[in-house]
Amino acid sequence: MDYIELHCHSHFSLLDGASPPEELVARAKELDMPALALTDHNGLYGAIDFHKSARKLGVKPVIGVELTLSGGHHITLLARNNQGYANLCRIITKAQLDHSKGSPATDLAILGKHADGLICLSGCRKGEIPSLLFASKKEQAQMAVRKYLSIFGDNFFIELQNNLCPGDTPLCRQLVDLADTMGVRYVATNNVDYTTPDRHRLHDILVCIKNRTTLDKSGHVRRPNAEFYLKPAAEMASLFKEHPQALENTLRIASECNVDLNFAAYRFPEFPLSAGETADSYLAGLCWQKAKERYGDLSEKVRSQVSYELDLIRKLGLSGYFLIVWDIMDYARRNGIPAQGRGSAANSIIAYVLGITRVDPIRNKLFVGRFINEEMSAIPDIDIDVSTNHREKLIQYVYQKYGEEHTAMVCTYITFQARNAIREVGKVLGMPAAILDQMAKTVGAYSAREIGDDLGSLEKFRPYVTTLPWQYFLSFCKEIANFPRHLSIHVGGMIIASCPLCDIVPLERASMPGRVVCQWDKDGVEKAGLVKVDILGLRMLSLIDEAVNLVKQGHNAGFDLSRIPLDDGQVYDMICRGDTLGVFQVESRAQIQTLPRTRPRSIEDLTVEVAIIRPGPLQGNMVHPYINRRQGKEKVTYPHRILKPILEETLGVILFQEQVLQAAIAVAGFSPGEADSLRRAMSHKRSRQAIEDMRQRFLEGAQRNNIGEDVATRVFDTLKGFAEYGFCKSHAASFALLAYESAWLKYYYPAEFYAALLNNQPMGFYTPEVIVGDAKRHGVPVLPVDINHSQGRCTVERSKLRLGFCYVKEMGETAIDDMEQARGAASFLSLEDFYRRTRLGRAEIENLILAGAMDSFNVPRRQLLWELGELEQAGRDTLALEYHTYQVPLPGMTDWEKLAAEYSVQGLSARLHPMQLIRSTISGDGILTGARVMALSSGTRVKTAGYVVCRQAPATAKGHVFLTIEDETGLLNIVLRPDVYQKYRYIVRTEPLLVIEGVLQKKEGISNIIAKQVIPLQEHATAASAAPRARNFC
Amino acid sequence: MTGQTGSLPEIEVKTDSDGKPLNLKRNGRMHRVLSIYEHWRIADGWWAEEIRRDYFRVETAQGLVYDIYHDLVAGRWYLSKLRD
Repeated sequence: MDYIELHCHSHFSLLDGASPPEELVARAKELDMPALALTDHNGLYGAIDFHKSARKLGVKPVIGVELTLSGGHHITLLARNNQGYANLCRIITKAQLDHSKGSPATDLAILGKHADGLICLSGCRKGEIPSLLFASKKEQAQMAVRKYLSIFGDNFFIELQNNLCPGDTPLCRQLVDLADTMGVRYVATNNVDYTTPDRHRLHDILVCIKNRTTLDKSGHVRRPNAEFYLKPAAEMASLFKEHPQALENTLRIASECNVDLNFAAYRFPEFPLSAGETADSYLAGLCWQKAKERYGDLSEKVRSQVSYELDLIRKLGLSGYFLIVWDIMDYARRNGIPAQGRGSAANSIIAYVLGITRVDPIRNKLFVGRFINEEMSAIPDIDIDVSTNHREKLIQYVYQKYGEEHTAMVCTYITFQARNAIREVGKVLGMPAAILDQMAKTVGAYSAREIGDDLGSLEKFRPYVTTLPWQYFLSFCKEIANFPRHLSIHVGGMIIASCPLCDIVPLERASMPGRVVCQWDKDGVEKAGLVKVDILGLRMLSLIDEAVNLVKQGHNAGFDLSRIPLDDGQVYDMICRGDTLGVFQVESRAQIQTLPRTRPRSIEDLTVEVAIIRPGPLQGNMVHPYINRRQGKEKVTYPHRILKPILEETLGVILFQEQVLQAAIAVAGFSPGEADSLRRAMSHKRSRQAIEDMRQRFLEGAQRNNIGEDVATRVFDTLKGFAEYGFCKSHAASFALLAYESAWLKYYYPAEFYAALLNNQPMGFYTPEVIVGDAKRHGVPVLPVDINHSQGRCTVERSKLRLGFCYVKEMGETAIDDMEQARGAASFLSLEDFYRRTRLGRAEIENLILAGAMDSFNVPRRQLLWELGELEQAGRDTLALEYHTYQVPLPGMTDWEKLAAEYSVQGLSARLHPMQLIRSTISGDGILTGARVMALSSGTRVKTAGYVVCRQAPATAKGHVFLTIEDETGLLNIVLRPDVYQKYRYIVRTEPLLVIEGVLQKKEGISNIIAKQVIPLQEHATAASAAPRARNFC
Repeated sequence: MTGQTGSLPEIEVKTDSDGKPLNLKRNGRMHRVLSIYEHWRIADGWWAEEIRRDYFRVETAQGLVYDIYHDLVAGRWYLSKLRD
């Protein structure tokens, strides 16, 4: 007898399903199950993946949900057709949006409105009818059946489950009796949580994580046995031999369910136009007008490119999409919101003339085929970077323009990776919290699959990974890897659809108040044929905007950044020195170490620089040939002379994805679409067969171009070698422009630049205290926060940087507004004056005192704290106190105490670097300052010390780890070779303050210390509490 | 969990090819199983001391209803409860 499972949970029943949809489908296929339903809790998160993988394997997908009703009962709903699917989406959306986040519930009245096209099963043991029977309330159960029949009619079935739980067999008998009495059909399901019985252990772990308990204490929430797996028909037949009809009905129901999940027809709304105008005609008119504004007289090249792209956009039916994105960008421009297109869209001259992107594709020799071409199967995303400070305003505009029903943010799934898996799985298994904490801090692997190998390589953890309970732990970490844990909001993806989104995908609340996300992530949205617009917050755009405003305020009201020369030699000199801390895209350790060698002197060079120092090009061995050629150490050669014009800008090295396409077109006469297919096949390591088929076509095309087979084969293999690692040039060019602009501001207006940089944290590689140090080293004095001079944000006072109140903990907007208002009348003269004229609470005032914001009263901080206590006791509305009458002499704070307090309340100190205080205690140990180290010659053995400000272990570095440490004189780069790192790994990853002994290496303007020994510096107990917080990329 | 069943009486059970009880022997007397009312399964404690039991509620020819279980870890049968 055949059987089809109609009640099945995937891991998208978050923390209550132990198999991904694809594995369930694969198991169904193994069991020769002709169809399978997916019924996750209150969501269709996995529907797209499930649908696609089922179709691929020839298993019929049935889309459904296990719904929680108001009152807590469950029912199972299955979509019979597309109308039913839309109703499913509406019901879930209502359940989610009408209730608090994480507690969806549906009223029966809602079901009544949206029952069309749905099949309803009475549910698991938590269903209303089984619950009533369990409580021996037969009559009420009959009434409940009548209620569901009135909603679903013949599409209502009594659901039988026998998971060999106590009471299942008699319950099934009672349900069948009830069904027979009421003339309702019944159907068997197995309430599946996982593919095979062995997975029940992982299910137990997940349920414990969900209920925040341990295995030992979780008997009441876990399943009683391992019977919730996808059972073969024979096992189900044995369990339901008293009720064979129940199995037959699974086939009947599955045959009735036919849903298609392609929503391409609704992918974006019609752009509002006046009568007689079409999207094509309007876009064309707009583009020609804007092209004249951009270029003045149109050259033949511009004219033909605009025509070509307009024609292509029309053929692809994308005019409306371009108009929608143009409209968003136009709104940004009209409202002074810094925004620019990123990614492959910047290849398009249409995007450029419409003001969507900022890079001229003609001048930058970009290639539109990478963005759109005639043969493309999927609609390309247009991604917009917007100033983080203004992003919300832009998003609100989209909501207003197209309506909340048609617009939603895309979700993203927060998944289990090494660190959270260690903590959460370990906690469930009852492992000691202290060891888990050490493991989570030490683990180097990102994936939870690799925890065992990673920690096993360390002496410290070896005993754990080889003993039984810990082996359980490791195997569960491996199994749980990449499972979704909870939903979050995608950084910027928005879908805008022509029909209400709640007919396509359920919507639910995000953690941000008032924000709604759809239940699919960006891949799901794409697979469903929808288009999204990414509106991504880019702090660098906020920084540049703020720095420009500060320049306008302090220097030149008419300053216009768009008019700065893009070839300023002094700015490039600074970049070439690697003096780029804070500069967009070129501030990382790897970039700073490359810049003196590649010496970029133009935007084009910067474009290469942005693209090349990335994992892909490093892995693809593109970096060294490029640098050697750039330095003249290696001859520039080309695989064939026909490629010279294409590869000239990168000195014969294939770096950009666009070059792969252009090469295939030039050599083999491929169309842009074919060339992009080749790039995709090569870059995604598609099947060898697919690439070999392409090779044949490539060779034939080359032959038609009179290029010999040997040369064509060599070119093909070269493309194959590089395509996987190439970077999108138009994206690099867009970012290069921002890199240059930020460098220009740093060079000419450093105080404004650093103030804006500090005001837009977190961003980039460095923490605020490192930025403050860099500002000082660039001759920008940094003034401490001061109640009479600071503002909310950091400001510039006569070319000096003044820290803002935003850096003082507890100082929220209300406190700052209150204080600034009081200060508007007159400066504060004393703590008492401040206390009486503001409404700030004790925590805020105490933090201001500890941050040194009241030092200008010339009263010691400890004395001020004491006085604050006295003021509080007396109350705000009493008469002024005479402190001196009963003042107690208090010892002043030591420098360490002051420093620790400043770090504690504002995370940095404007006055002192902690190493200045440590220096006297360590100078006898032969420990040199960074500045003295840098003055020595290469090869010298050195000993130095500093706070770790950055830890990096790039995958491409083959086990090498890079540290950046800072002392009072500057930053130092430390290289730990794999053996040294393994030896000192725990110290390196956990200690904030290190002594490094090693050999100084200086080469081509770049200095590193190759570490031989690493020792934690624990000289002063307070030193660790005044430690800058490192940024870790490992 | 065999360790916790010390106070429960061990019994001898003959089963069919599916592992279901045909008759059980208690205090030297053989009881033929007339019908199995219910069968349920417990699997728990796998991380510490594993419990895997197949429970059966059976009626014997003598008209008595028993809850018996097969301890799948130890391979033994026990009488869990004699029901009124």
